Amino acid sequence: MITRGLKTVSRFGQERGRGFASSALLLTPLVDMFTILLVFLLMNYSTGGDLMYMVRSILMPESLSKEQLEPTVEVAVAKDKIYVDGQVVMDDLTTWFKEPTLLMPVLYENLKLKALEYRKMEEKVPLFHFSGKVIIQADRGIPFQLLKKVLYTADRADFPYISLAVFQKD
Amino acid sequence: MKPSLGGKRHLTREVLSANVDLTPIMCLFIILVPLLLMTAVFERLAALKAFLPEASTLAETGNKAKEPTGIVELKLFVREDGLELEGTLSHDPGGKEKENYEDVRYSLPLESDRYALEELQKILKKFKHDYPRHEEIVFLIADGVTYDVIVQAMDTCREEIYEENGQKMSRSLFPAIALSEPFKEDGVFEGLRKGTREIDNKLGVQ
Repeated sequence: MITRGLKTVSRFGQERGRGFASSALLLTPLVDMFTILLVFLLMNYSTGGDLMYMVRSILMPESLSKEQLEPTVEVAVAKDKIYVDGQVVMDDLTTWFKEPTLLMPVLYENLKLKALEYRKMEEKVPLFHFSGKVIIQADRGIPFQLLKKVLYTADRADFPYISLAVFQKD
Repeated sequence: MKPSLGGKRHLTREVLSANVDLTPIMCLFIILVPLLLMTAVFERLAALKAFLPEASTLAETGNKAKEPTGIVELKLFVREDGLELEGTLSHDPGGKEKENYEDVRYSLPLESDRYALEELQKILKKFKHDYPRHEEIVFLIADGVTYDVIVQAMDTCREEIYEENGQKMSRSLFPAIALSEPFKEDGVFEGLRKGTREIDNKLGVQ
């Protein structure tokens, strides 16, 4: 028997056989492909998870920083909305581009409630410690005019330790 | 080659067909690949620490700042038309002799619509070399500057990336960065600070 690709034919009856052909699936290229894919995926495998509510409309800037994000309260600033821990708290920011006041009352209220919640938890759970840390996830196109109001409001609402979330640059 | 038992030697070709059974490895791949695809991280996240100039957090990094570092203050103005670095430096690294202080200013306008970040880093490297203990820099950012530009400028001020023996190394420059808006006059910010008492009362915060 000679194996030629997908056909198995008899040595003596190659041309004038009975038309018998059994198709044997060649798995070698598939195994090769899977091996390459597996190596690539293993290289990209991360043991530490980034626990963040990712807002789809936000494209964060890239940075050389390698510092890990710690799970804490997250404020996401899109071009038209502000989210706290994945929940929309402000959905119209047009007036805030002109507003001279730095404090954003709705955001302040939401963050302050979070801070109070954590403070209460701190009293009840001995090992829990409220760090006052906040992660700001902002779109790269956001002007500082808006960003400074978010930073100021977070600081006033007992979240003075600010971490800006960024994509790691290679 | 297989020798015959008789006196006449002749060669016989024996074709051995050894088929490896790939089924178990395929099963393994079929389980592993989707699992790894689901957990794969294509964009890695990182944190970039920042402070507000009024925040008490600046005091955390301020332990070193309280001791004279030779630099009284280092300010970077980030505007739509470029960067400007201002510093009050001392010729005496101990920073005790006030008479020796000197104001320096470097203007770095946009170069074909790009911020002169490389030029800025060269100046900062020189400052760091002369005053290695100083770690703070205050960014005074104009309203129209985008967040992306701020992050790029922060990267430039935080650390220097260089190559040594083919390996990428980093050297810290001024990692304690305070973000602020520009002053109207000395010490007076542009934005209005509104009290939080009303909201605090509403929330029952004392």
